[in-house]
Amino acid sequence: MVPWWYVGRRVAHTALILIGITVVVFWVIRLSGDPVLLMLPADASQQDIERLRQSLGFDQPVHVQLWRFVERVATGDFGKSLRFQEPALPLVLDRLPNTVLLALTALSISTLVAIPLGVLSAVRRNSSWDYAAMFVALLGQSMPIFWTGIMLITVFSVALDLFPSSGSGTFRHLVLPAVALGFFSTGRVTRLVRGGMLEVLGQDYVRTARAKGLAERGVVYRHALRNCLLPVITIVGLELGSTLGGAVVTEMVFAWPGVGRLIVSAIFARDYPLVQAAVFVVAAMFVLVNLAVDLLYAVVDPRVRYA
Amino acid sequence: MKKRSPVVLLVVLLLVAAVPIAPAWRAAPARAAGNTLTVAFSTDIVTLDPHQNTDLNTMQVLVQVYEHMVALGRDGKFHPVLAESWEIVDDRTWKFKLRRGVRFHNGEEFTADAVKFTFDRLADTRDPMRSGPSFRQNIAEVVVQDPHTVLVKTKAPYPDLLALLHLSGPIIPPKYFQSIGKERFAREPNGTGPYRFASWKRDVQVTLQANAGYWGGKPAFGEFVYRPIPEATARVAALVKGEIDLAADIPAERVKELESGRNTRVVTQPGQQIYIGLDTLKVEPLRDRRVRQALNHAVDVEAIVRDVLGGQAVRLNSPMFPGMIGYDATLRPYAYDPERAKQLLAQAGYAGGFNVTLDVPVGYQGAMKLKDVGETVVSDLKKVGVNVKLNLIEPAAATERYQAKQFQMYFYAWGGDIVSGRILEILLFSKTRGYYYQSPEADTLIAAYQSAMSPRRREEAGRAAHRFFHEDAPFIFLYQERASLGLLKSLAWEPILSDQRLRAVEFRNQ
Repeated sequence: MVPWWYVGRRVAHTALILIGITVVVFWVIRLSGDPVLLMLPADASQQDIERLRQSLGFDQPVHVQLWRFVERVATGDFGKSLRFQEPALPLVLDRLPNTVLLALTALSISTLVAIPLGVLSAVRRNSSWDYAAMFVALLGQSMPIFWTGIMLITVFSVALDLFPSSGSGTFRHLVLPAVALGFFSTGRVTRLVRGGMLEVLGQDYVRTARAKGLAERGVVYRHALRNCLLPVITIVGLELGSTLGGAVVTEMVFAWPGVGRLIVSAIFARDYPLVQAAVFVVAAMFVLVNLAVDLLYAVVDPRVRYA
Repeated sequence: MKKRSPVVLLVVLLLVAAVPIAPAWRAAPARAAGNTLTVAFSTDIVTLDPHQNTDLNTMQVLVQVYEHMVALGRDGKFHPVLAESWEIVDDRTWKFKLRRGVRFHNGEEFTADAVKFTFDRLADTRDPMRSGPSFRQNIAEVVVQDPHTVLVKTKAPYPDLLALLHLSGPIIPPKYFQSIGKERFAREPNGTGPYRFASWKRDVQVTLQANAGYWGGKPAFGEFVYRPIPEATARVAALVKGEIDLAADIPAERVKELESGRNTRVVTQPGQQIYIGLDTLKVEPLRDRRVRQALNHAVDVEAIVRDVLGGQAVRLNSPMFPGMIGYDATLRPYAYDPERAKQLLAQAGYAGGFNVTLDVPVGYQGAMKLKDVGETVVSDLKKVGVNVKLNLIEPAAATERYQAKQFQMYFYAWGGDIVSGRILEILLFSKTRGYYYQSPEADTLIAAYQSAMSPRRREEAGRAAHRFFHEDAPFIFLYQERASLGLLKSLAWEPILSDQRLRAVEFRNQ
């Protein structure tokens, strides 16, 4: 069991970060100028400007505004979207399952591909397998998701007609965006697994296992791989974060109805309450995933708790 | 027993986490079919309340469901829609005879009450509608004379009333609205148009069904589907594959490919007007008309249209557009003539040139390649000695600086209303904005144009204004964009109305 004080400390950290996010989100709309002017059309009258300033509470001192904002966020109230004239948070939460589905599918694909690929290239170090795997990894990390997405559409949708070019609704719609999004983290995880395996394969206990006469398969998968998976769990957890970020681009390219696409269109429309709600939700997800990874890590490796 | 590897466990965990989400997201797949007209635009619609909307893409859906009193045709004339005929009673009173036998989708009869209810809602100042400013400003009273006759009284002589009713003022059903309230009304629209609302899945698609009882006859397509596809490449791919019938906002560099495509073609429509605004009040050199004319001579707009915009634009020569009453077709754009520009600068006392800043909003949705255009303008002006510093700013910051009157030179995009005199009234009339340009002479001309009720007098006032602004050069006149639409060759389209809002009823399968 993980000791309660360890859990308590991680949860307290997470709560602090969430408060920090709230403050940052509060400041963000003040960075690009007077939010009231930004929210109104260019030909708004002075009277309209003052009315909106009052109704949003922007005429109050900043600390009062901040406190009110924190109070409202605590009850899940981010105000109304300026563009849609509807409460902002439900607009974000409606799209959240789509983004989570896309991110998890992408991550599953990349884990499924990356771990065997990493093991293969470590075991056959400096073979053509290794070079091929590392080339794929490099490609995954260096191609912008935007470009990967366009190439996938061009080849697998337009030329080969295997998948729809964009949109959502069926499993076939999910494939191309998930592959595009998963490709990036595939590179990173492959390299990590390869590095970890190379290190572990040189350890004494691996040599011992071999000396006992265990089959090579058993040595690689049961003794070596299991021991190099710890950092992989962390990275996959963190990749979920960067995958959420990459989802912004992927959702735009493939017209996927997720949170990332909502953020982009909200920014273009200067819909600040909606931007605030969406950024908060995504940041909170990221923090919560990190919390989960921390706790999982402590379960898997007891040494972590006492660090 | 063999222990399960943690890899398998991890993947299983991820997949298990994904499963509960999947059903929530399942929906009918969208695919262009014989009886469905599927169109794709870059953004999702914003609202279904036609009076709370100012977004052009949203109108692409609303215009199928709701109808206006009149519509402007490609012939330059106003055609009857829900109004069958109209006449000017006096300078401030218009009389409209309404079409009989028209019903809303829920069966409610269209009468003069609906017109009054609609215009009253738009003119209401207590709960101001987003698309209501022109109604609030101009409409004094709407009087029901009999169930099929309505009088519209304006606060002042308002020759642009028909233009306003073409652009705005979709008629809504009063009984239906009052029985369900405005919140539900914004989700369950109910108009007199050729298509009735079926569903809206946000960021996925809007579906409309043909209105079998439509007064203009049953539409050719049984279903209309609107899909938001933000990325142009994906939109083009969907069109090439025939997943959709029509794709809007085709970027200039993709036009050739669709024109020569096996199953696609391209149609262009007038888009936004792009100007470079000049601060003629605070920037000393720009106060001089000769300097402003020199700038117009110095910029090679034709080269910009050809090389930067791939030919997808038409030059402008004033703040007035072809199609506006009084547009003087004999006036030519300023010739590209750097020598003449230098002469004019010398006459104004700026033979050695001057320094000025041009602000360019980057990432502004809707205007093509402003940054590239800005860079070309800078290099053109350098050739006549005017040193322009290009300043890239975020669009939101641009709006703020515009209002704070901090621009010296800036890009201005005017879209939507290219039939009424609003552009003159808003940008160049000192009593409205007057941020960067004020001129008593311009005020007199605009006031005359905006109050001339007789067509002949309005035509004359328009010509005078056109000539004056051409000469006075308050902007560097650039171009009107051509908005490109990609269509399947199997889709026939005979556009009747002069409009960026596409009417599904004008399309047929061939």
